[in-house]
Amino acid sequence: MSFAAPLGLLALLAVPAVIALHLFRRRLPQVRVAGLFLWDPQRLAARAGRKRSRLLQTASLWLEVLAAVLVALWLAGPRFGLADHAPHLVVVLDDSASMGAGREETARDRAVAVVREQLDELSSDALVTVIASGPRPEVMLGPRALRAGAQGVLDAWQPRRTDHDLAPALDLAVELGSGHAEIWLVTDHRVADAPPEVHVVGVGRAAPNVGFLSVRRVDAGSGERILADVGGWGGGARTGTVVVAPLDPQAGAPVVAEVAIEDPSRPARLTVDVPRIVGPYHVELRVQNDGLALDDVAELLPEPTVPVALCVDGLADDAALRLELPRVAKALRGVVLVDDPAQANVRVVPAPVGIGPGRHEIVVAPVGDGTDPWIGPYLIERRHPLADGVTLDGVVWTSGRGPLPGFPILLAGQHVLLSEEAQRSAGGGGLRLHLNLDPLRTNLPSSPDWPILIDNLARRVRDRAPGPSRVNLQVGEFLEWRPRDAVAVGPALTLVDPDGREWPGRGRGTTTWEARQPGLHRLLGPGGEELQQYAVRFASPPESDLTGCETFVEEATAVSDEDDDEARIEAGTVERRLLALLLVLLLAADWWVLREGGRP
Amino acid sequence: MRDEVRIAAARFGLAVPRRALTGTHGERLGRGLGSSVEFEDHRDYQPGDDPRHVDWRAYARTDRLAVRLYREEVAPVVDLIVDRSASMAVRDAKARALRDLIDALGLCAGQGGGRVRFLEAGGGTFDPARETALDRPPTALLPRSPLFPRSLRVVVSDFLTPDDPAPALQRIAAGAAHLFVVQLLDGWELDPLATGPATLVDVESPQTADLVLDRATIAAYRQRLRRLQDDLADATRRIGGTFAVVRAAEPDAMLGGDLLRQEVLVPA
Repeated sequence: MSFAAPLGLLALLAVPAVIALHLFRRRLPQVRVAGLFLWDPQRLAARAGRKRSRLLQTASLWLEVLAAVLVALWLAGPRFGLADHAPHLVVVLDDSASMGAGREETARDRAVAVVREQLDELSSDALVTVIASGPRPEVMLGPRALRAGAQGVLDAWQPRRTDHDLAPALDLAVELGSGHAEIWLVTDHRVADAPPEVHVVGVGRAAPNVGFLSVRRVDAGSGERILADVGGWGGGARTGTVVVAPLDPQAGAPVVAEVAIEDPSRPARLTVDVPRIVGPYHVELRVQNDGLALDDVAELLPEPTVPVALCVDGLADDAALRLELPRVAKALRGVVLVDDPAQANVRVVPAPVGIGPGRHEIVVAPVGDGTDPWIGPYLIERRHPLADGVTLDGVVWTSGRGPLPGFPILLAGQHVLLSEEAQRSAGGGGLRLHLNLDPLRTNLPSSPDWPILIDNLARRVRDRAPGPSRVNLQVGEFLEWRPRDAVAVGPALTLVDPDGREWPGRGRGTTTWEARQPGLHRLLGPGGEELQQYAVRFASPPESDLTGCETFVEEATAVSDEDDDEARIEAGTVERRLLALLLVLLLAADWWVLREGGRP
Repeated sequence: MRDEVRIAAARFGLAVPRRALTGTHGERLGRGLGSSVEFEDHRDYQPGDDPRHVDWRAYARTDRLAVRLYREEVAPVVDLIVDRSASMAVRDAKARALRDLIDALGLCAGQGGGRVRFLEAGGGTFDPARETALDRPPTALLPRSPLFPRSLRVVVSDFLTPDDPAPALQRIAAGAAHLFVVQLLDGWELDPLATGPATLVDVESPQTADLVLDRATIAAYRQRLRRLQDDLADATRRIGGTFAVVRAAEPDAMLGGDLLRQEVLVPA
C-alpha cells in the first residue's frame, strides 16, 4: 500500500480527539417527552454535564474513531491496487475514407506505423483500447485489452467511412481513458476542437484527386444510360476516361467515354449509353495522378420498379375526366393508367371498396350534406409523406361538410379535406386516401399539387411493397428488406458484404443493415438462397478533397502522466471512493446509534 | 384509514345524550319545525312559513290559517377538535393512535347519518385523510372556526400543558349539546420505565433536562400526571361533559376498552 499524500495521515490526530470528547462529554440517551413540566427539576442527574468520567466503550465511540481513521486515510490517498494501474493507451483511428489516400503508401499505412511505434514503447502489461471514428464510434479493440491484440486489429483496419465528426470518438476515448490514459488521435487533417488531453498526429499528405460525385443508372428507351458527375479537387484541368463494363464479362463489352474536368470547381457531367443488361455494371474513372481510389469506382444495379397502376372505377364520367389522370400518369415515372380494375393496384373510387396487401384506393367524393368551397388558408400536416411538396397555392377545393375517417393531412378550418387510412396487415397492408372533394368544382387536378399528391401516393405504395426500396446506395445509408409477411417475425436473413463477412438480420417488418463499405452486397434467405443484391458506392466530397490533408503532431495540452502526483491521486480514485462510502456508512450508523439511544 | 379502525368503529356509536340536538335530517329527533311525517301539533301561520305546510283542510273547516308542526328528524352535528401539535407525535405509537382515534370517532359519530366536522385545535377545519402531519406549534384548544350550535363536541388532546385547560374547555362547551374530553397518552407517558440517566427533550420547546429515571423520579411524575388528570376531569364534569383517558393502542382496545368503559362510546 502506498499513499499519494502521506501528510494526510496527520488527520489521525483526530482519533485521540474523539476519545477525549467521549471522556469529557458522556452523552445520555435522549427521551422525547411531551410534558417536561411534569418531571421534578430537583431530580436532575447530578452526573450529567461536562465532567470527566470513565470512558464508556460505546458503539458511538468506536464508530467515530473508525470514521476519524477513514478520514485520515482518505486524505492520504491510499492505493491498495484495487484499480488496474497498468499503462493504458487509447488510440482513435480516423476511419474516414481519405485515410486511404495514396498510391504507394496510404495515410492508413502511416497511421498504423505510428500506432505500432506507440505500442512498442509500452510495457508488456500495458492495456490498449482502439476506437474507429464514425457517427457511431466503434471500439475495435478493448476497452483495456492486452497489447498483443492490437496487431490483428490494425492489420484488418480499412478506413472507408464518409465524412463525419470525430468528436463522438474522442468523447468515447476520454471516457474510456478514465482520466489517466494516454489518448492518441491519428488522422490526416487538423482537428479544431480536440480535447486537451489528446495527442493528435496527422499522417495525411495533400494531393489532387478526382472522383464520382454521383453515378446513376437509368432506363433510356431500349437501352440504359449511365449518368455521372465527376468532381476534381486540386491539380488543375485534366482529362480522363470512364469505363462502363458489365460485371459479368459475358454480358457485353465495356464502353469507354472521355471526361474532361476543365474547371475543378465545377463537376463534369457525363452521359454514357449502354446496352440493357440484367446484372450490375461496373463503372470506373481513370485519371492520372489521382489521390483516392475509393471514389473512382461504382457498381450499379438496375433499380427495381414497382409499377403503380391507377384505374378509375365507378366514378361518373365527367368526374373521372375532370381528374385528368392520363395527364398525371404520363407525367410520373412508374405510374400507369389501366382500364381493368383487376390489374390496378390503386383504384380511384367514389366510395370505399376494399383495401389489402397490394390493393390501395383513392376515394374521391364530397362527404356529408352540402358543400363548401375553400380557397385557403389550408393547414397541411407537413410531417406526413403524402404532404411532401404540396402547397395548394391558388387551389379552390370544394368539400362536403361531413367528417372524414383516418389520419388528417389537409384541413381547411375544422374541415378535413384529405386523410389517409393505413391498414396494418400481412404484406404491408393497403392504403386508402380520402379526398373530401367535388371533382367538378375544384381546380386541384389542374394544379401542380395533384401530380405531386399522386406521386407521393405512388412512393407510399412502393414503400409498402415487399423487397427493397432501393438497391443502389451510398456508404452510410441503410439497406432495407421488407418481407412478404410484414406482421410475423421474418425469417433469418444474412447480408454478405464484399469481403465475405456475414451480417445476420431478423425482425418484424423491415430489416435494415448499415452499408459500411462500397461494393456488391448479397442478401441471403434462410436456406442460403440469394434474395437480393445491393450495390453500395462511396460518395463523400469532403473526403474526396485531399487538399487539406497534412502531416503534423499536436501534443496534448493537458498531459495525463502516471508519474505525476496528480495522476497518482487520480489513480487511487477507486480506493478513495470506497473509503468515502465507508465513511458515509459509519456516520449514518453513528447517527442511528445516537438517535436510537434517545428512544425509550 | 386502516381496516382495523373500520372494523372496530363499526361496533360503536357516539354516546349521544337525550337532550335536543340540531342537525340535518336523520334518525334522531331534533327540535323546531320540521318536515318529517311525525305530526306533532298545529300553530298559527306566520309570514314566511312554507305554504306547503299550511293545513288547507283545517283552513276550510276553521277559516284559520295554521301550519302543521312535525318533529324534526335530525342527525347530530359533531365537531371533532383535534390537538395536532408535535406532542401528539412524541412517539410513533402515539401518532398512529391519534390518527386511528380521529378516524374511529369520525366513523362512530357518523353512524346514523351524523355529520362530522374535523377541527384543528387553534385552527380551522382539516381533512384527516390528507392532512396527517402532527407538527403544529402548541396553541389554544378553541378552534378559530365557529362551532356549530348545539353540536356534539369532542376534544382529543394529551393536555400535557402547564396551562389550566378549564377556561378553554368552558368556551368549547358553550352552546354544545355535549362535550367529550379525550386525553390520549402513550404507554411511556402513562408508565415510564426506570432506565437510569437520560436527557429528557421537550418536543414542543428547546428545553431539555438531564435526570435519572429511577423509581422515585417516576413516582413523582405519576403523582403530577394524576393531579393534572384530576383537574381535567373536574373541569369537564363542571361543564357537564364526559372525560376519558385513552392509552395509545390498537383501535379495538381504545374503542372497545377505554372509550366504551368511560361512556364516550356506546354499542352500535
